[in-house]
Amino acid sequence: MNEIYFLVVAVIALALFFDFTNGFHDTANAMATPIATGALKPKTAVTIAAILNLVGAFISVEVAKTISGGLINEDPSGGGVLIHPGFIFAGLIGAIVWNLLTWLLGLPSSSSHALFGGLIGAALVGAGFSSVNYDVLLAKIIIPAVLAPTIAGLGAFLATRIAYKITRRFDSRPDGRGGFRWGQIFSSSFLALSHGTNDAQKVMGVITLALVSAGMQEPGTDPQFWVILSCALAIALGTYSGGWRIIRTLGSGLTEVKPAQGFAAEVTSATTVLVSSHFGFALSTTQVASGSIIGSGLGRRGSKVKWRTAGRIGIAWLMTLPAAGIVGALAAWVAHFGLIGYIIDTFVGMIIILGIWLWSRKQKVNHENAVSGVAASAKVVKIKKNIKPLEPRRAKKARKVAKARKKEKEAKAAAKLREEMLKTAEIEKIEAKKKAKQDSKKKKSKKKGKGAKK
Amino acid sequence: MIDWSLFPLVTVVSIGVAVLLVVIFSIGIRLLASAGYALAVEPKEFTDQITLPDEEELKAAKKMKKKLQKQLSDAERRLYVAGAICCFVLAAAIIISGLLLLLGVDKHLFG
Repeated sequence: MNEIYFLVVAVIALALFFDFTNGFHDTANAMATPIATGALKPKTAVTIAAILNLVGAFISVEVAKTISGGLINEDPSGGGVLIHPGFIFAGLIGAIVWNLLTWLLGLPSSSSHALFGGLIGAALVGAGFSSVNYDVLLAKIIIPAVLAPTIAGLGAFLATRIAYKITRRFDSRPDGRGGFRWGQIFSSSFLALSHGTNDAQKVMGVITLALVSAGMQEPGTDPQFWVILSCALAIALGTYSGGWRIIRTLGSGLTEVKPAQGFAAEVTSATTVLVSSHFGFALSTTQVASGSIIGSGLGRRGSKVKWRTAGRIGIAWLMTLPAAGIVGALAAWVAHFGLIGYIIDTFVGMIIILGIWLWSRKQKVNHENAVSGVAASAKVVKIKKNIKPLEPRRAKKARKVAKARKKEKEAKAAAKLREEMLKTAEIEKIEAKKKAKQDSKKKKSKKKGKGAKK
Repeated sequence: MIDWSLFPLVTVVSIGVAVLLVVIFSIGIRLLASAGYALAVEPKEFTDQITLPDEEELKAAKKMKKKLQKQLSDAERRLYVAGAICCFVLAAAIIISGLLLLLGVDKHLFG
């Protein structure tokens, strides 16, 4: 029994650490643009993001329920499989190690998918194939993983197009698009709130799953209040501590994002994440934000997709779930040996985390290793410079009509000229004929005169 | 069992609400610009670094703003600004009502 208590405490500590790193890592995604545009001071932006992440964690528990009561069959009385807290511990070790590795290598990756992958891998090795609810995996994780970035991309594309169309002016007066910078304060805050709603809940789900598997909570029940509060505080603290990273992200991939475009992208990301959270879809907020940044980039005139960059990011996204699953499965296999296995897992995990941390301290901070997932996806769209300004539709139409009239006039003039030429040609012909007749008459009369003389 | 109807619902609601919010906010921005309350000069190259318009550009912006405000009558300007404020308030109301729906306030109110 003591072993289970120890494992539950270890799972809670690891899960809260994961939540902290999630907030730490994702602040840049939400708050980079308002700081970059000067709409908010870095400290204010980070404080707002931290508070809204905290508030967001209290909005819904649907995603937490997906993880604690749907993804893994944890209820033996309901025909499920008994999941040992040790496997959840192994899954978390797998997720954290994979997350830190991708961060170190500068690969765009989703921490949420790393968490799911780690959990699923550990459950498969620890309790067999029947431990995973494949319907929930497909409906609440895999389909949303493809659908949500697509929805965000399409929505951001439409929203950017419309925003540009509404604010476009042809009378050389200012279009006021600078106002979108102020709008970005609200859209970024909205995004931070939605981030707290979806991401904090995943960890709530993991802690609840550990409590259920240890017999400390009834299966199928909502997360307890202290779990919600601790997860909300962990993500908020992580967000606040991660503020410094924003400054590093500024010089990287978001260079082409204009205020109207950024506003449209942030609003679309936030609505997609919030609506999905309401239905219990466990999404990667980084992937949604990336999808909307790409969509909004394509909504601008003169944009082009860099397929090679897009493909590289897509492959990294696809790899996250199975790769974290393999790491989680390995950790679960080691955990099979009982207490010694958990100690080995913890020891190896700590060494890897410490090693990566020490190695990262030696690295110089530059635009290459400071690129966030969203900033990397901003590089997928290339925007042409010096695009010809658009003409108003009325002017375009008037120009066309004038051109048609000019053509008509020219055609008429040409026809008239031809007619005149023809006329002159005919006159010349008639005159020539007349002359020829006269000449022949003269010749005839001459011949007649000669004949008469003879 | 997978509830397939959720996917089109999420798609329509997410895109619909986002586009609606952006349309309303853009109309507000447009009205504000028409009233002469727009930031007249944008940085030539938007770099997302902390580079805001320099002093000369800001002076030119202020001059342009005054010129624009002179072209409108007071009533017209007030009307435009009121319209813009209505748009911003409407956008905020949509966000707040959406969050209340997520919190399930409608269930508490209407059973």
